[in-house]
Amino acid sequence: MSRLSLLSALLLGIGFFTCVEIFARSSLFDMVSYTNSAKLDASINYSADLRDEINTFAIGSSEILYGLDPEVFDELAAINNCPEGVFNFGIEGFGPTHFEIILENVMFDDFFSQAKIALIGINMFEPHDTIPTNIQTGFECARMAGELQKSVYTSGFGRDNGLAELCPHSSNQTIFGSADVFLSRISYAYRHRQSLRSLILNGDARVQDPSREDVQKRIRPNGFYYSAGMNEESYAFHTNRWRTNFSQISYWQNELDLSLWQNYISENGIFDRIARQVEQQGYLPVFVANPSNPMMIEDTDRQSFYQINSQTMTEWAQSRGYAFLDAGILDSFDRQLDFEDHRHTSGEGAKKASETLASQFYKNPVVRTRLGCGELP
Amino acid sequence: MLFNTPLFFALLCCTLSLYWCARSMVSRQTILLIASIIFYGFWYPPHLILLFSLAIVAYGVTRLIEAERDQKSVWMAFGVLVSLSCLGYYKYAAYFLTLMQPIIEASGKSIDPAAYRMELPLGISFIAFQVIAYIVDVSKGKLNAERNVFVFLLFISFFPQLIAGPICRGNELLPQLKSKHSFDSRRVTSGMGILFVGLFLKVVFADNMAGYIDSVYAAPSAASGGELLWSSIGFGFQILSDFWGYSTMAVGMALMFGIKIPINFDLPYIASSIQSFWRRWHITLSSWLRDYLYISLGGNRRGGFITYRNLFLTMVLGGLWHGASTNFVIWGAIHGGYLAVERYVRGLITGTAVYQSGKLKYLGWMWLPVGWALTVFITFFAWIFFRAETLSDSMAVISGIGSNGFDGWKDVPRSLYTLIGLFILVMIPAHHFIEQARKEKMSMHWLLLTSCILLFLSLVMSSPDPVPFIYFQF
Repeated sequence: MSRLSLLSALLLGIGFFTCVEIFARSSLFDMVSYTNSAKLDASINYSADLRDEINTFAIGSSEILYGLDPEVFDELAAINNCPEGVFNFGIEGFGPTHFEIILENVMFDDFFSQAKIALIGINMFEPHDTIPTNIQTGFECARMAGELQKSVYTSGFGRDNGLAELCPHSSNQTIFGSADVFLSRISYAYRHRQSLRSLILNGDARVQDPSREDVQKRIRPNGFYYSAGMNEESYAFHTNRWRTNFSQISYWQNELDLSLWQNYISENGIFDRIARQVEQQGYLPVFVANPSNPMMIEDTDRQSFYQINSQTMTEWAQSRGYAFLDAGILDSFDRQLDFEDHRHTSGEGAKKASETLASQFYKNPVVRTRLGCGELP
Repeated sequence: MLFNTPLFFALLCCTLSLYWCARSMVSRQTILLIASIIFYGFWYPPHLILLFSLAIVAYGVTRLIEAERDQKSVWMAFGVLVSLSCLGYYKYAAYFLTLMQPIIEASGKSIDPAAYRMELPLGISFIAFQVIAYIVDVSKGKLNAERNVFVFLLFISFFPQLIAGPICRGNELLPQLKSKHSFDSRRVTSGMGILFVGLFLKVVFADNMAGYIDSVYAAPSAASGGELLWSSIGFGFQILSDFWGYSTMAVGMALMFGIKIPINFDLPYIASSIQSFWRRWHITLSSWLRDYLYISLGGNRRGGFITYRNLFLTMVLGGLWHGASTNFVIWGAIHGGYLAVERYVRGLITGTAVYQSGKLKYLGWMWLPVGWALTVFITFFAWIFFRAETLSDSMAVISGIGSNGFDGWKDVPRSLYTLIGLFILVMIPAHHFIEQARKEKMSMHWLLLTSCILLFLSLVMSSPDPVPFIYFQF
């Protein structure tokens, strides 16, 4: 009886843990968010279908996510005798500062096995926080990450890619931190226990969170977030709020030092580091000026700053054998019709910006060589 | 050093290993005493001086009680007074000064009660009661004064039950601390199983309910009636799972050292009368109040009105024991009042077809669900005062629920409903498991399996930052 009892207990125990492990691996992230961002969840799911077809992917913040339409790029690719296959991997809240961390920890060939070029969206009129060279010890989650970034770092995606350790909880900072790391390595269910908890407490997010469905509709299979077009009420709300607030925030009132950009592109500056990270992963870095609403640039009187930076980036990219694209947003974009709010493009604005960017992209000789394009028509 | 933290488990594991490797009883007592000193000193080392000073006074007083029997009342009174003075000084000075402030200021003097608010030594309420119980028991001849000062220090500071009980009597704990138990794997495993049940109750239910309930009670005027209603109901389950979890962990830990301490909870929410509720809720406190306060006031020996008065006073003082606040006094008064009313009603129906020889008869059985519903209602209503920070917050909660308790229930996170539902489902199986494990009736295989599963579930469901036990503040 004792042996039978022992065997039964063992089998039940193994059965229980095995079932939990299998469930976690196969179904957990169908029911709860993998990244704590419905948009990024959709991007990752779609990218899996196109894994072998993408030669170029774009990274950057929401300005890229909303502003760079891969479908337009593919149209221009065909016209310019280049292979199609562009994916928008923009993440809300993830500008260069945080994408540097992503590039340090996430291997993009997990997502795109045939990629050759990384389009890196950069904001041309705001300063960029620089992270100490040793990200692991120098990253101050509390200071440098807002709610958008923290939620992604501490998500299942963050845990799978070593990002969660950048925003540690007190429980991981004891001698049992090493036991936690060990268990996280061997057990998928243990590693994603916070997601399991979320499922148990809040239920299936597909049922509980109707906004997921809305996001699913708006995110295209190429990762682009299509903004439905200018909604007057929403536009007025966001732009009024911007205009009310920016004059009271010193961040926007400070005059920016023109040498800032020189620091970014100098050796070990943030753009230099990002470019090297991208090259280390095997891609050609192509920097892209975010298609931001010129309203912000004009209201903060940073037009000259923008123009000078754009020139600086062009020259720097050329000297390094990279490319730099600028859609010229200050020139021919309608501040209202082409934008959804004070910052992001509308669907129409994204199409217009993407046409200009794609045209520059596919005519660039460095790009054409890397992609193996045919003769220019 | 909270029970539900890795650091505490490290201390526990080290202590267990050393304890069971030690050969002599003296070594084992020393190991337990050192572990208890580390545990208590971790919070705020200077309070160790208070703890041991109180213990030394109690030790000395009880030795004098035995040595000078004709002066035993004096020494007993002195010992009790010292304990109560400690408690009063740290816990109630500021509160009573606040109450007296109008009178003092009317006489032309000014006073700032906030200046008298002290850093409350952890577990002072429990320690003081344990000391008082010991002194009184020795004085009444129920047990002999402990002669070994180190054993006595260990009795007072035994870490599993030091901070928040169960309040152990001298005749329960001292003999076990002085006897050398041989290692029994089934007993240790049973203790481990009970420990993990307690951990499970605490981290899965109490901690996960805490966040939302705290946010609602922090601003009750801003919450809807439904949110207030469900937060109040949730708090009733939160405090049970929190305190039951803690007490269960204490029972389990003690058993892992071969020591049996009393349980504190016996499914209180199935009680069909408030008297039964208090035989199931915080059992060691209610029995302490009965033995050392209610009976001292005269108990039920002096007729109806005095009995009701004694019941009421005992519960009011029991409420005050929880905290220096009018809210706790009201909480105690509600329970005391209901106990008195219930006793009165029982007196009316005794000997009738409803109730005879202490048992419900005939139509009395129909009373059970009504009695249960009434008990639950009164208990959960009283919890509002227990949880709210101030009297005005309590009134805001009550009026919010009263005006429209069904409004806004959809705004309550689904997780709260899930947790309440799950807790109701696991309450009885958890209690049964604890009972069986205490009796060492479960096989080791099932104990180990259950422990692993409960530990895993606790790790999965634990919130990222540890939440303190509610009763630590008392």
